[in-house]
Amino acid sequence: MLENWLLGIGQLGQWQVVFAMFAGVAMGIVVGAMPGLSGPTGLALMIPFTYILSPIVAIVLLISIYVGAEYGGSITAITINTPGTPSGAITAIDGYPMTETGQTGRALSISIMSSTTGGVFSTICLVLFSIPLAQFAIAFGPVQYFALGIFGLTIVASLVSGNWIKGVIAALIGLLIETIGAEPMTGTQRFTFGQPALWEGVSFVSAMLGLFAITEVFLIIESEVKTRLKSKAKFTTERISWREFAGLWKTLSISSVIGTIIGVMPGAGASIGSIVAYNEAKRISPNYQKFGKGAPEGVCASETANNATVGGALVPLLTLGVPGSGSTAILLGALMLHNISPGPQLFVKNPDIVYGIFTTLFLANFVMLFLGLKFIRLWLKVVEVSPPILAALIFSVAFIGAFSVGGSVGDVVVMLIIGVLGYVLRKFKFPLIPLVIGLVLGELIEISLRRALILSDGSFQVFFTDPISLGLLIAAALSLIYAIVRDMRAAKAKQKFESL
Amino acid sequence: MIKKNKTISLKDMGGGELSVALLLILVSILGWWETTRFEVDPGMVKTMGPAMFPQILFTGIIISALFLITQLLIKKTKRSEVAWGRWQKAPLAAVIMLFQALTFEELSTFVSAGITLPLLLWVAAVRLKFIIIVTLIFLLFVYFFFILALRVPLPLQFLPTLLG
Repeated sequence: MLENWLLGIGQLGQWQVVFAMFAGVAMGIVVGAMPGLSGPTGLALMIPFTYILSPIVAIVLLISIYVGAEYGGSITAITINTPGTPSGAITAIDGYPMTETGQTGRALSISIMSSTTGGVFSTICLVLFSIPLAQFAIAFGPVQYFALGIFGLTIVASLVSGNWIKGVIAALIGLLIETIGAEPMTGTQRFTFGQPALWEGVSFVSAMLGLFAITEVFLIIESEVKTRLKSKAKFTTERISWREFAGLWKTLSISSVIGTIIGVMPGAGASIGSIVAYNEAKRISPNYQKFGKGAPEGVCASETANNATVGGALVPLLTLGVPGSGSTAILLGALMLHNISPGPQLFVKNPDIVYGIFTTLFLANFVMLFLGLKFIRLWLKVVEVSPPILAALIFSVAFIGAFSVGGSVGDVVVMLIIGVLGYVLRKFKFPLIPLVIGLVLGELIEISLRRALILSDGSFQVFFTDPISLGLLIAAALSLIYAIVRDMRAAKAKQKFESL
Repeated sequence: MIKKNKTISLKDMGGGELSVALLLILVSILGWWETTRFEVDPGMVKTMGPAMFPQILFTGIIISALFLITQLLIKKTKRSEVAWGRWQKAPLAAVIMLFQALTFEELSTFVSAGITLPLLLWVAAVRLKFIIIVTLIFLLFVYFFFILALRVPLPLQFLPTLLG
């Protein structure tokens, strides 16, 4: 164990890694803070340029972006009541009233200190739980992997959308896009229609850029947002003292646990973590009547929980190779591009990478604390960039990124097509996260399914006789049933409301 | 509501969902037909061949799309409207993007981006002064960051000769 830690820490002893960590956290804060941009967009835009980096530098950069983005959303939420991320909306409930009463500095310092606490707590949990989970999963074969893939996909599809059918359709479209190109077992060309650009399948980078960058560009361009997001708040520099912060220990502890647990659950994510933690903090607080009017506990609960989801979300990603959110799906794809396959074998074959990730997460949280406290005015300046200008620049960077990976215009065209698909799907409220996860897990699911069927002479019974597989498939079915019941209840409630 | 309007409108969420569902069914039928043309290795059982997985997915999409249509038909609640904004700008932006993709290698990165970036900014209603400034700064950024620092092999065509 100690040897692995030393290996991991040793990986980070290069100046390029330290630079990547600072740059990544700074980029993450910026993309998280800019309304319209998000952590997945920042990650997608950076993937093509990680090709020229060594795997460890690339991983450190991407993980640092992920960490920074979860915090960044709170900056604009607190100062201008415009959350940069969905979870930032919960922070705004109490953060903006604090700004209105001249407590901007206090709100922002609570936010960054809470984010760091949540992030560090969830990293400790990641270290504690991922190692035994990986040891358990090491015996998984194709039968269990197929069931695991279906479980991960189903739970995301049913949880992230307000309409379970749309979630399932998005997941199926993602899986289908993955089947384009040479089939993984025999090399048969599928759905390539004679186009050489598709022979090796849809480039992961093009797909991510299309879904997260190009789709966003279309939405910004048509939304007619012309005004710059300039804050009118008078910023005060007074920060909360460490002693005062320590007084929030109850909220910090509960929100850290909630955020970590919700982060582990596929499909739940930072916004649900923030909502649950906020409600719990309100429930247990003696000052509950102050919530919504500028309660420091409100900012603390939301920010602790959303950063705590980061470490939690990495548990299934690293141990099982199953992502539960857009950001972790992109991270999985990025790791695979660098020939690193997350899953139980990663702990055996590349302990240096695993422990390097653990160490990065610890350090990135402290880098975030430093950058967040020291450069707050800089972040506020950066996010003043006009959204239409930002959209045009995102497109141009995405274009170069898609081209630079394979030096092919075909990849750029694929990016545009997927961007249009993402735009149409988002217009009709189809969630994109199941699509991304389907895209990432497609090969694993197909190969596992076919290998399992070959081993069982074509019998599907094999998935129901293995206890782990059966358990996962039952859990997948239950998550769908839950989503169906939830949708029916929501429809009934809406109907009742309309009839009043 | 679809029943009341009797016409399918993409401004209405129900109409949009119905259109998407019908399109998915059509694409899935075509896709299924395409899978029947996949080559199968002589030693492989046809049912476990390369067509099996896509066929399962197409079936899933058709069933889900039918569920979506059924849901639309039995739902009694008022459908929300689709926020299209100035939607005409999105296809226009797509055409500009496609233009850059198709001319990128022929005209070089700088000429192609020098045309499309200002056009995109114009579509996004950015003022002329900013269009010029942003385009110039971006082209310099491409040269110094992507070409010189990261050594991304972007097409330059006649520019290296021109710049000596």
